[in-house]
Amino acid sequence: MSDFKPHSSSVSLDDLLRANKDQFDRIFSTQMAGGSQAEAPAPGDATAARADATAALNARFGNAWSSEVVEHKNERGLVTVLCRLTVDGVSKMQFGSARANGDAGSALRRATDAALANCAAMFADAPPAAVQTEDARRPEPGRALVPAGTASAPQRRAAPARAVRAAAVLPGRFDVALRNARDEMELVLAGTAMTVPLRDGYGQAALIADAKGRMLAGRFSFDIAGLLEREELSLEPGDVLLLNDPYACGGAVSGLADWLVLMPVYDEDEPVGFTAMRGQVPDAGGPSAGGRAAGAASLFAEGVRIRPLKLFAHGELNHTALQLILGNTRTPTVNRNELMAMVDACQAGAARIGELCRRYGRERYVEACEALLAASNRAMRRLIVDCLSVEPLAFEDVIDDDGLGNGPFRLRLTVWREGEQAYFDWTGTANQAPGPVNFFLNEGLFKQTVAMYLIARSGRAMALNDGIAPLIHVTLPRATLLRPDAPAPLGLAQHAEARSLDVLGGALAHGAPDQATAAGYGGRPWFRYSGRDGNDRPFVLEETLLGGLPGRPAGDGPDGHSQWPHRDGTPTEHLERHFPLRVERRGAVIDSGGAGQHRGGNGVETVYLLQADGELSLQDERRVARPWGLLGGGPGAVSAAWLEGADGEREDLPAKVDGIAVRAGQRLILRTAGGGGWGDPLARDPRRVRDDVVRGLVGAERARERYGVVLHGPGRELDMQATEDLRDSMRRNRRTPPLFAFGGRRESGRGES
Amino acid sequence: MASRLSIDVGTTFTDFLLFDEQSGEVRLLKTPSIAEDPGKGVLDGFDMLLEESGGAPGEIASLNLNGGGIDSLLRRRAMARIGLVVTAGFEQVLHLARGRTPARLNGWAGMAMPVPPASLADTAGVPERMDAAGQVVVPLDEAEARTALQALVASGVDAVAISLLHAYANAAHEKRLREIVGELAPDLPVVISSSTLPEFREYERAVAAVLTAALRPGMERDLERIGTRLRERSAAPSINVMRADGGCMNAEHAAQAPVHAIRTSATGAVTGAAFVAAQAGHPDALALDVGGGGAGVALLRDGRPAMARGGELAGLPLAIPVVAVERDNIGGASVAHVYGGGLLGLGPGSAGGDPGPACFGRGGEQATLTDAHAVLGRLPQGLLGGRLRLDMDAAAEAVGQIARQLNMELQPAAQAIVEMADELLLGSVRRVLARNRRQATGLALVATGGAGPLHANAVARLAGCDPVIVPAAAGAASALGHLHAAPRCEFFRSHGGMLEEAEPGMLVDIYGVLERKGQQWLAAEGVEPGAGQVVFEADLSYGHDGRIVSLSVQPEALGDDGLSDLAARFADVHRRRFGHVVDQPVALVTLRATATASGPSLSHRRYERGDPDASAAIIDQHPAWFDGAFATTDHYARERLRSGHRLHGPAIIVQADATTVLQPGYVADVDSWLNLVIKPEQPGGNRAGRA
Repeated sequence: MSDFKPHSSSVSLDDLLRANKDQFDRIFSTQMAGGSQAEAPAPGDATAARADATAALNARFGNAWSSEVVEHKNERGLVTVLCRLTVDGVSKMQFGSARANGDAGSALRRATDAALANCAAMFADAPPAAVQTEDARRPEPGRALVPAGTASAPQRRAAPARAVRAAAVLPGRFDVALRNARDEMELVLAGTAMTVPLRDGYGQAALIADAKGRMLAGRFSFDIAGLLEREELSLEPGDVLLLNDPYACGGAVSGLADWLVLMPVYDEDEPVGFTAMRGQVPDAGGPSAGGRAAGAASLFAEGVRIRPLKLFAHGELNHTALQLILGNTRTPTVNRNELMAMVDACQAGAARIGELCRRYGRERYVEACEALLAASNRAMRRLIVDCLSVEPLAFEDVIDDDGLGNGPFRLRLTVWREGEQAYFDWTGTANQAPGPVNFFLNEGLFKQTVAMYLIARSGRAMALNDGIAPLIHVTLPRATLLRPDAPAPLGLAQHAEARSLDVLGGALAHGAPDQATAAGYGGRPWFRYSGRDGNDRPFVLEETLLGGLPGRPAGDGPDGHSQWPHRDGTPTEHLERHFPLRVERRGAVIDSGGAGQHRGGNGVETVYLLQADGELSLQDERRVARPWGLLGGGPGAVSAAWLEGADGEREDLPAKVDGIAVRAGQRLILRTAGGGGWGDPLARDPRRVRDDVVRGLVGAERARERYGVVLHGPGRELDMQATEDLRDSMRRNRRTPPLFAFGGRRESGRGES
Repeated sequence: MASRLSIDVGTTFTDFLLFDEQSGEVRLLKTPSIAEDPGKGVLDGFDMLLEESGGAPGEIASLNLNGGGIDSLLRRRAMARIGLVVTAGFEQVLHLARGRTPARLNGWAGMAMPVPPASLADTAGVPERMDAAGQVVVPLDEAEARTALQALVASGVDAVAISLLHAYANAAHEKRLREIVGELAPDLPVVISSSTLPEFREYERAVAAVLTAALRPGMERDLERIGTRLRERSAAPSINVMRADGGCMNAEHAAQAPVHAIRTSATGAVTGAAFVAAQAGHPDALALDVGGGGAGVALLRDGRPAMARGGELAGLPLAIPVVAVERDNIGGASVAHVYGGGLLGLGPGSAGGDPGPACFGRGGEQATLTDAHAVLGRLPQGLLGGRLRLDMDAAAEAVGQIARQLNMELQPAAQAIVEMADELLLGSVRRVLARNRRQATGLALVATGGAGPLHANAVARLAGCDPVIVPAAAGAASALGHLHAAPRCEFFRSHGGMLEEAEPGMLVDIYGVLERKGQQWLAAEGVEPGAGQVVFEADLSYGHDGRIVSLSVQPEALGDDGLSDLAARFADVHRRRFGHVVDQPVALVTLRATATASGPSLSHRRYERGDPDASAAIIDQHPAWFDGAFATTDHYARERLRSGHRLHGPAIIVQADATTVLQPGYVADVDSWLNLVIKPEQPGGNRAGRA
């Protein structure tokens, strides 16, 4: 036993200097006991984090580790500790730091954890002892039992087959099996769905969780346990939950036309997990089809709200509830079909979980799922330490307006880490909007998104599951744009959703801009043209707009592509066959992408000649705030839209309009924003600049002014000498470019300030 | 004595299959492929095969060849430089493509942009416009067009492709532009989109037109060289090129429509499996092909592969009918690794053909799936009939690295790698079943490729397929598929109107035009009148964004109640296939006519069933690892197996280009065509989910 005795409620640094692994926990528990009444809690739960840090080391290295504090200092509230971690005789030393905020003891703990985490990250990946067999007679790892392929007499191994199999069935295989099951769920839904978003897959998402509700494989994630507890629901075999209220599920669905079913899964009456399916229905009631009323002032104006209810109880369909719900939508038959297809998909997933339980035994299944979560947890700790800064770094951007004349709305995110814990704090984000541009940010999905960004940046793969969740702490102040209070309207959440990704990208770009991308034209801007065609038949055309993608480390931002996954532009020949309009022109807007070593993608201009009277709605963004450039790259141009009468008179349209009247013979011109550029334009290969000029994607003037490239004559011959001279003088005469280039505002058609 | 030669040019190996029409026997040869000159590889193998068989070149009546060269031309972009002519205002049709980015959040960040097959700098817009009904909205401005074409021709393009908006509905402007190019440059090849793939959707149609123009010279050159060199050997077989729809076409048609020759190696493996499945009496089956670099799974219905519309190569879509294959990148060269906090992973990284798996002894150090099999004792001492000796120590060393990272013993780690592959392949199987809304029950699994038979038994056990069929030519299934290919070509016309408003007389006329095209095509293939047929289909959907269902139609029966019958049949099929009907008018999307000839009726030799005792075929005994322990395992030589033999698992069956693993608890019967038919020893012992 140690003779360490705390002499005050806070730990002295000398104590820590002498401290070793055995003493750590006691020091800290004493510290927490003494400090918790008097002192403000540190960000996150320090006790949990502390126990977590030690547990992580124990899990990873068993008893084979020891540690000591080598140096420490406290400078202007920033506590820095140098730790040594020794594992199996190998030592690594690393610094860790934390902000004191008036609590030096807590900061010291967190700094120490950070240092240890940094040390731990230097040891190569190893699975925890828990996943291994406990066969004490096991020979040295990696050593053959019998040389393969020798002609010697075969030896049957004495060890029981079961022990060896336990080693052979690794969590990696379950990751594959569970993702296969997830794919199958999505294909089952796609197979019988009626509507394009579900058939093509972009309007649906599947989830498989363990019995505690933690996502094991899925395209989204949410707090299942919290939902059941809040709603006081206890699920039993044969039950299926249905909901569409974003406020009831922490934003797991984004709006009322986004339905979610949740099914508990049992193996011989023992709960072993959940399957869930999210799917868009074409309409959820309310005054505007599709639940996207631009003028909605509350969720109640956006359609029928479904609080979590048992659609099936003990396998019995609740006809009454279903009829009540469907009766409040415009598309009851389609919605019913899609809903039942979602239930089928959940059942398909449940069947695969059951199969895995039978294949390996339930206990081993549960064990493997735990190991899978633990592996991702370990991988995430390393990513956090390697990719995030202890220094809080903030980034902000805006969405222009809410369509009702309010705005701009700021989104602000501050990111830092303490040890192996990551903090994402949205404090400073604007208050919720009166109009429906609020976006209820789902913490579970946001954490997965963070992981995807860090994976992309580090190039290190990991399984995406809720094993990472305890490491990422999200702060979302209430009554803000990203965490509105019910019943704030949410029907046009896609703008803030897209911008939240820009902001996340910007915040993470601070540490490694060469691995990050600039900002793009947006998420899913769309327009809708409806009316009656020449044969007096009603038509509704709804099209997602394509635009300029961000410049990126991998290359230029593509011109006129989709920033949201899995979206196609609609062929002109399709539009003209089925809708009363003619497309007169479609092409990239020259110079609309920000200049850069990898330039931003150009926005697209499309000219539609309308051939029927009708109504027009438009939901675009990036009309005022430009998509920013990164690392010397310039910002992209803003979007524009206008109507042109047969007489040529031009009527400018705001980015968001709802149901305005249009007449046959009018032209609608839509121009989407360009993407921000990435990297120094003067570093772009002059031949590529010339190539862009020849192809009409960059103007000759801009080639000279922003890229310093001199071209001559109608053949656009490249003058290498003049280019080098011009670039030299430009480099001498400019200030160091800022990390981010936001540009001035309202520079329609031009990508530069 | 007549024989037929079928050749599959793969990325690594070229397979030769020589079929003797009299004896019905098959001779196989495998040689390394020559990427730069596929023709040379073909001729070298031709010489070797004849030398081995002692046959005369003149005896070879036909040579069926896949378009492996086309795939590599496309991938390497070693194509002609094409000038593209489009409707003014739509010059960026290839540049903007369809705007799609990969199907995951921020997938665009790492996306490699497909290079347009014609550069925007080589694209000219001409003032003209048709509407969707084929009516002229803006007449062709010939003076402007001439100026634009003059500039394009002068820029030095190798050929011109013309793809105007709605040209599928009215080709007049495209034809006129073709004439003008002919006046300006009489020798310059010209392709018009209305004659390549006249389907609506301007991007896809332009891609098809440009690729046709771009690939044609390479296809012509390859086929001409082969023909010349064959004639030098006084051989004059008819040359057939394989198609993505599982059919074949003669050399002239192939040069006209080279885009139909993409990815035929994978297609051949499926049509080969389909032949074997039907032969073995299991026409409803799944085909599982696993090679060194990838795997493919396909559904076989009634002895025929399930079809899909739309091919893709090098990121470019092609609106052609194709055999539906679910691809995965799992293969023998897939690399095992430890990632993400200690998880075992397999692929997508691959050791490729060079250096390949560590056990190939060519300097590969990474642990591949093949190395894991070697460690478990599931491979013979040498592959390719002993020509490639396996370095078992190198395999153990490579897999040992993985084992150490996982803190495991060597064999359990190798078993985990092999089972990972089983699980990944099971995923492909399940996706195919889910897409087709089928259950595995009642389906056989035909295993082909060098590594397919290594995994088929385990995958079938997991999936619930029964039996597993391993063809005698398992490692040359593509060549087998090519051998049995028959001429086939599809002609179509986009329609786009509502079914109830369609004019039966007009539909009959369109089908008449398509039929004539089909008959002409068959005649040019040398198909005897009466030996070929043209069948008709209509693509229908609910509204303009519904699912497309192809129904067979009799054009002459379209009058009277024909259209309402069609609507009723559509509703019926839609309900069966997708579980519902939709309350929307039915659109008539496309009219199709498929010209086919019956395939060569080739009788493979059928062997009398003999004694079940297969011990004479045992060539070796080795310890092999099954379920956590080594067991003495018999190695059988595939060529010594006789019809009627029964093998008991565990066993390893070795042939030159494939290795079959027979799991404990399973038996393999050798059928009359020398296929291995693997079943559980206990009937009913193969239910899904059993380990």
